[in-house]
Amino acid sequence: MAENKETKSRRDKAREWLNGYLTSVFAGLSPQDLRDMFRGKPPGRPNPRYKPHTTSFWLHMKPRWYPKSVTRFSYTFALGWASAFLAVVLGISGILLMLPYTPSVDKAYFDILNIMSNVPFGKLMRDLHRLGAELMVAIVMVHMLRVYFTGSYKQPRSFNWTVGVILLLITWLFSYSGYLLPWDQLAYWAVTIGTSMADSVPVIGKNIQLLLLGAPAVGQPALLRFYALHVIILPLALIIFFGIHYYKVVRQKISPPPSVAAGLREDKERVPFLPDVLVREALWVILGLLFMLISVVTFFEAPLEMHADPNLTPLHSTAPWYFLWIQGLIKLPDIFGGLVEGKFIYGVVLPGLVFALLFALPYIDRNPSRLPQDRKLAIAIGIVAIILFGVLTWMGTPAYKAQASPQEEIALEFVPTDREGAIHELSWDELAEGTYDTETFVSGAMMYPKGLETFMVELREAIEKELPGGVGTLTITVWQKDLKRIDLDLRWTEGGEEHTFQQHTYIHRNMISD
Amino acid sequence: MNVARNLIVTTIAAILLMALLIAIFLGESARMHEAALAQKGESIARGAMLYDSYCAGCHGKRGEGLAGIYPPLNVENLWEGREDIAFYGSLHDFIALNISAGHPNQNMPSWADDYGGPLRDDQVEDLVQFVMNWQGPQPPGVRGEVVATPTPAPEATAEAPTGPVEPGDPERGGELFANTCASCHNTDAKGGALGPSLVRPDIAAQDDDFFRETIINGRPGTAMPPWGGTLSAQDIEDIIAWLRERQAEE
Repeated sequence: MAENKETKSRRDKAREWLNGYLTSVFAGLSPQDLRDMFRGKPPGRPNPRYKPHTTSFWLHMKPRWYPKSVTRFSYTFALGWASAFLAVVLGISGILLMLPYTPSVDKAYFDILNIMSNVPFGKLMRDLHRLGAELMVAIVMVHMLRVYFTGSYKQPRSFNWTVGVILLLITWLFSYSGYLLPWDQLAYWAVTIGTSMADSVPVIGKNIQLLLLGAPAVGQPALLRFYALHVIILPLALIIFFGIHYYKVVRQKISPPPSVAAGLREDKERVPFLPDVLVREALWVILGLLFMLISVVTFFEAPLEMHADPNLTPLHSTAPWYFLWIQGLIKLPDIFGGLVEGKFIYGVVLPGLVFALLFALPYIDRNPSRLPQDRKLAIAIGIVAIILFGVLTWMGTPAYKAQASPQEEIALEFVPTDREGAIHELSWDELAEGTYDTETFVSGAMMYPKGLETFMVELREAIEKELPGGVGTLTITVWQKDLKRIDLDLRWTEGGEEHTFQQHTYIHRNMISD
Repeated sequence: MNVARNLIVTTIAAILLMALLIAIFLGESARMHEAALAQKGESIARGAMLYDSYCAGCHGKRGEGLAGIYPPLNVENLWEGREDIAFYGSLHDFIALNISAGHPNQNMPSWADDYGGPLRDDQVEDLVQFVMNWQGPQPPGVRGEVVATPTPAPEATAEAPTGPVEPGDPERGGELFANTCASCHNTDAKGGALGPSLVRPDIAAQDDDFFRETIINGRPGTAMPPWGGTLSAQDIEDIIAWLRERQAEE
């Protein structure tokens, strides 16, 4: 009997030790407290679930509780939370991408190719990183819109709004600096166009461009500079400004909905962080990861064009989508009579003005009320700004004032030399050797492989639309083992004269996934 | 906020996430292999474009060279008969060296930017991959052999039937059609599951040579096989005559 007592006591001692250890790991919450918490038992008195917010590093950053009205998803759409989530995803995928990447103009492109075919999960990391970057820019901008429309930027949160605009700038710079790193045609020309606005600044323009690029044109110094920005300078700036931003959010509390802030309705109910909000955020983490992974496995792919070539400007070069509005602006007519370059006003002054307005918003808008009915002008301006952004963005695309000649556009769409086009949608067998022309091609008769038929019909329609009376001839030749040559000949009459245009490309069997 | 429900959904979602990650993990090796093959294919395609711009002028559009002056590149074995070359590396390196540094005494310029040329090292590599793709057996027509009509696949060895032909006999053509063609094009030639209608206006508008060519060589990539080895020239004339009668009835 004496032995039983000792054995029991040893097991008890072990259990006691484990409980004590786990309690210290979980910042004062014992395993029993945790069990009770997740099983929905109300906390005892004193409430042990608030202690960790004082004793734990991670939890000291989170509020102990939220007012119920603030936790409604359709109030904030968790956009700020989503930005933080994406920042973590981008940071981790970014670090993993740093390992096989060299910021050298001779190596960068091939390191990307290597990442996609020779580094396990390299393509996954790259696609996640790119998807995260695109989502981040979009979500951060929508977050700004939400804060604008709920009037949350008004006192006492005006300082935090300003910090937020700085974070927006940091986000855009992150995305833009990362854009250059693959050193492909897309990267090279987007950055060349973007930075070309710098030297239009009077007096100091040339020096600003030298500071940005480290050289008169985009090259190795620019790549290194953008890399340094992307991996250390901007991350440090992000940590500082995000720290300030989130600190203010927790200290000043998330702004209550306007009706609550105006006293029109009461909100006394509290939702504790532990366990309610913690579990919900855990759910969002898993759902966010699932969404990103499913996207990357199904439809989303980080693009990679051909190696950067300073001598070859590709057709339809565009800035990244969040800068298309600036590209649209600089297409506006130059009405400044040579006093200053149109590029300077539209590309530097106006965007600068937009930023200045954003910064100064809480100090321009003196209306203390956050209720929509008291802010009709502000809301109208917001809606107009969104529409303007949309229109300018469309103007930045090649669809507006940046179309090449009709024959070049047709060739670009159907048989491009430097990107994927209609011809790349055919399977290897559908690329049947032979000559096909739009005049005599017979469709709808199962005479030709389906993909080829679709191609020729679409080509005929495009020629009818853009080069009326014209004829297009497609010739497919077996050029080498597993290599086919595709020739496109366009013939049309204009002003009584016969014109021709030719373009050709090659397709290798392994380029087409069956 | 329903903590219990959220916990359950989180768990289910986490299991889905794990399953997805495992699926990705299992498929990664194959995907990398495919990607490497695709990149090699793209290199060859880019090499072909570069060849057109920089090499075809001397070495010929199809790599045939110019006898005695510019060596052919499309040969099955570039090493063959080149005992004069004392090179101890691989064929890949030999070609890369030739392209990069050229042959000063033999009118082959240096192409790599390291030696004053216009090409980056990766472009030289693309050209090497393209030239090396000429090695070994090739589909017909690649090395400039004369091929009767565009025939893509080696299995389409259709001979053009020869011999003098009389004007087509529709009655005989109808019998031939019923035995040979109706299974796809239907007995009235108005089309079936595998073959289109042959009496449609736009097909009827085609001339006799169109029909002869299609019957002899087939339509690669579709279900229409070549009949040149099975039907005689007279058979084909008869079938065409019968078809013309049916087309006239429409």
